Amino acid sequence: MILSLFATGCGVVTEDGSKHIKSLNSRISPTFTGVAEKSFCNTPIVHSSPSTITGTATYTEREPNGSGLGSESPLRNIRHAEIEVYNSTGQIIQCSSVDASGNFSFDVPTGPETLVLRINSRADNNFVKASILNMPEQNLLYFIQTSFVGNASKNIGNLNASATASNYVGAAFHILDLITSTNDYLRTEVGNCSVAIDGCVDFTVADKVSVYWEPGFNPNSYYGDPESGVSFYIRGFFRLFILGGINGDVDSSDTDHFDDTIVVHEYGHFLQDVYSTDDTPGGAHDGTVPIDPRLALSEAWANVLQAAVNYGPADPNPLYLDTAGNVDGTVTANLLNIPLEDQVDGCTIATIGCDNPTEIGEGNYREFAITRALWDVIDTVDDSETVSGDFNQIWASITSGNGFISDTNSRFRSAGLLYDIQGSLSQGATTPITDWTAALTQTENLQLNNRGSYAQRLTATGGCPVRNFNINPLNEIFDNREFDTSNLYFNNDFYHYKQTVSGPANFALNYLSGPGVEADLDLFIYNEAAEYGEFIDMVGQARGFTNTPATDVETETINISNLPAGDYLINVKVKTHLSASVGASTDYELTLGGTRLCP
Amino acid sequence: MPVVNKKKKKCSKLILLRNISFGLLFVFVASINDNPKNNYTQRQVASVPEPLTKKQSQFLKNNLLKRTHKLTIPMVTHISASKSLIKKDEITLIGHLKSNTRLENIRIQWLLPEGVEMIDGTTTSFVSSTKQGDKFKFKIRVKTNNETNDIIHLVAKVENGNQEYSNSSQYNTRLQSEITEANQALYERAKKYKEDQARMSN
Repeated sequence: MILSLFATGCGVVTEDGSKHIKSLNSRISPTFTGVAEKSFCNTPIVHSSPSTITGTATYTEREPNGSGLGSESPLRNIRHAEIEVYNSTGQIIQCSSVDASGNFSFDVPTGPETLVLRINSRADNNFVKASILNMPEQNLLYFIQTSFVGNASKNIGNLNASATASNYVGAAFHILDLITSTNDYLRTEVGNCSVAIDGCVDFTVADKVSVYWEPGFNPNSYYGDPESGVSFYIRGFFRLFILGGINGDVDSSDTDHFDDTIVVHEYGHFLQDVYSTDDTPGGAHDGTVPIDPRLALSEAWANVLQAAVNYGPADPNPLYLDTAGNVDGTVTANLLNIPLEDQVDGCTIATIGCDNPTEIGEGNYREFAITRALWDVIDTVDDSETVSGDFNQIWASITSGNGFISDTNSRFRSAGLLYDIQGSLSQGATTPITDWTAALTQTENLQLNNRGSYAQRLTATGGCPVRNFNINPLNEIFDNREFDTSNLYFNNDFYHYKQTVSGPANFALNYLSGPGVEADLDLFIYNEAAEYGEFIDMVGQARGFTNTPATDVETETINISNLPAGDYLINVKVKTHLSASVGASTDYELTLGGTRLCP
Repeated sequence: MPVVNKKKKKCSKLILLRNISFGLLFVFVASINDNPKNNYTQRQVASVPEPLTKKQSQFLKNNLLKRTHKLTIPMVTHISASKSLIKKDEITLIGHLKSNTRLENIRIQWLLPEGVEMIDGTTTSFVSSTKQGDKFKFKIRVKTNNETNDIIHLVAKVENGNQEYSNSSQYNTRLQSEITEANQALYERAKKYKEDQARMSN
């Protein structure tokens, strides 16, 4: 008989603040390189005259109950997790793993010795490669274990990692299971995608990821904001940080370990980092206003992946669901529950996740408009579109062998680029490449299927008409005239410029407003990082304004004596300081060395 | 001074009694550990940052707060507190709410754990509408149990049809200052480490 110490209902984490302080004092940085995680126990050891030990491994979680999380779930199978068996002196005498159904079976030397079976919160096999660890400074695993005597072949019953007790170890196994499910989904959808799409790389198992999680710990504490719960992925470090609670509290605070949406979403960022290229500059996003299209694509990809994995393509109502608290605490709430198939009826521009585009192309600047569009190409629910089952084309478009990563024109990667690439995929032996127009142009999606609304590449050919571009300024009451509230779609235009050889670069913006108040346009040249409004990323700026007469051509110039070879983002921005009007519709052209820059 | 945790002690006794009464042959333990003989192993950490890859350097070039993270909730809550110098078991709490967008029908609720008693103020308030940047305060006075660290929560919730947004903050009646100090120290360490890493990558 096995008794779990964590099945006693003693949820003491909420009151154990001193334990939390100890954890804080042990930490240094999310990018810290601590003592290496111990080696995987992957190779089975052969014993003569062995006894075979069998059993099962499970965990429990907390599921959403409408507002927050409910009580402990039924038992779930732990899948593919690492098994270690120790003898009485602490030596490893066997290595194995749990199978896909939560069963285990391994051999030990037959004898009277008491042995310890440990199941760790990690896996390194053909199904999943992930470790759920406490903190980068220590790299300690979570585990469940039991002891047994190896005197004969036997079934030692079930080990369960619970979700009700002081260390919530079930949560670590739940995170591992969500990552396993994501790998399963990818194997199903794109494990053989090269047959359908030329150049698509068949998925087997994702590279190893380290997931840092501790009950009661908020990763935002590293960044000086411990009250605001956050999970995140750190690019280049292959580390996820999952929110375990706030200041030691797991029952009444924002947690993400049982929020399937958040875990798979953050893992989606990892996959994009490893298998594609994520150009997002990061930053806040709340699904109400146009955001940097690179950020919008990055978040939308993660949103749609979690919907695909957690809900499946036949679900008519997939959600972005983020909860706080559970029934054992004083707080139970949904922090956010955003529908991903359709907008909420009657939603407004202030409704989180409504992300309501008003014209084709604006949707490329809106995270949830892109999410809905990509969901429409996956799902089997027809809402005025019949596109379905095309996750493989999304994957093929953002991964290797097709230009999204490798093409010299593929910079400042946004949804427009993804659609561009999808449209030019080569059909393989089976599946035709689909026309996504019906999904992209839905009223609530309004996607432009190319880079026309963001980061279209310009070259100095002069082969385009005078003042070939237009911008129609928008006056918004919440525009405080600074970068942080400037409407990125209506009051800004962005273009990709490639400096092929280092040398002088003299840019000019020439513009002429139509009848009415003359607009004031500014010109900025950003480096490849191109974080909007960040002066450190600007290699040049011209912000002058001449208002007399109102009908002449205004010019902004940036002269750079030696612009290094590389990729740059040209930004034409409306200066909205004119309180009475932000200006009339304005035609403009961009020149380099006196020659017009053209698409 | 260590905090008395009656609930934990009570649970430990229950576990012990249960173990004895069942005469267990097998004991199942769950923890974080790399040594099957110890309950917890404090490992030494490396102190020198390692050289970074190009991608890592690019990440560190950015502001500390610029990273991939989950959706922002459009309202921020916070609790500030002042303890009575005379009545040491009384605390005045001010809940702060800042709206980052236009919101309607925000319900503000103080959630007090067992043993914490409201002396002055109301547990539930409503804000009919807000615009971006609006700030609100909600004040209560409570009597606490001096022996335990209790957690008080302030929850702000907006319900819009089937959609719901909320945010919450907590206040620890006995450990808040220690927690705040430990958090601040961690932030300083993380900042310095990042600066060291960035310097090494240059």
